[in-house]
Amino acid sequence: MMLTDSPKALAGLVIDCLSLYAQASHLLIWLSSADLSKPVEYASVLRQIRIGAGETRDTVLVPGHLIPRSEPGLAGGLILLALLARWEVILAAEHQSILTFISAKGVLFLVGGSQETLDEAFSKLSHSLSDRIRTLPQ
Amino acid sequence: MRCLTAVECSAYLLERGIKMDEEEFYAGFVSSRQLPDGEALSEQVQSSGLQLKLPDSSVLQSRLVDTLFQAAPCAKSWVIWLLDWDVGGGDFADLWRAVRFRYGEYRWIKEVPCHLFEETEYALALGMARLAVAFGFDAHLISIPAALVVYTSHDDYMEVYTASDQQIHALADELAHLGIEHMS
Repeated sequence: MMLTDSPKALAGLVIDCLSLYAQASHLLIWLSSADLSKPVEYASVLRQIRIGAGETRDTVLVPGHLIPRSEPGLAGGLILLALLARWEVILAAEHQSILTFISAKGVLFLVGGSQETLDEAFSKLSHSLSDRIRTLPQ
Repeated sequence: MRCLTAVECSAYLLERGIKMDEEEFYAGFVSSRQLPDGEALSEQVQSSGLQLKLPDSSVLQSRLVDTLFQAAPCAKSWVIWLLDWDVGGGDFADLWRAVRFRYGEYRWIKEVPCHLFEETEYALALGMARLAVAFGFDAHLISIPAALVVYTSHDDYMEVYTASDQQIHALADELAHLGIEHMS
């Protein structure tokens, strides 16, 4: 599914993405881009957040951010930051059979443990995305 | 980054030629001069303004903020003064708080809404300013020395003030090249 460039639509998408993991105790936000030092403006914001949390290692070496359910605003803000920076993002959580991958080019992929899980996730995200492109074979 | 209360920030800005009113809105550029009796006299300086419609594109919004920063090349520091962070982007204000925590600022944004960035923190200031716009905050973005005052609104518009007509026309032209037209 393609993401739009509208900040409001992206913010809506982020909230919908969080709803996929609402039952999880923690959400893993994995920034998987090869170069997380660019753009420097957003990298600078990310660095300060990580230092604030006691993480001084390089983002490329330690790309995963485990955010507790009690901090949805931080999780959502971090995902939105990543989308604005055009970083690749993977969202996953323990005991949740749905994985979200958003590419740097703004394509969102969902991987579900079952067709039912996938359809449910699609329905939660559908109103904040442009048309579903296609479902890849299992 | 250093956080300031509204009172502290108003005083800081006034010392540097920018007057804010009691509602915490921009009230004009001022110049101060010393009178023979030692008293300081502040006089209002003419300023020019521009109102813009915020583009509904994160790429264009980023370019807009970058252009505003570039319009004050002599800036030694920047102030981002948050006025409302609940209306447009309340869901994501925790990210903003996380950056404040990094600098030891644990007070509520409401108590300490102003953020002062030094010259060495240019990238962080630019990143935070871009986020303030993308998150839909109501905020002021102010360059020090006083060259540019920006008010961004969750209602998708922005007001820009400079100390000269020439500067505001140059800025309007540059923004028009980006496809961002001004409303007034």
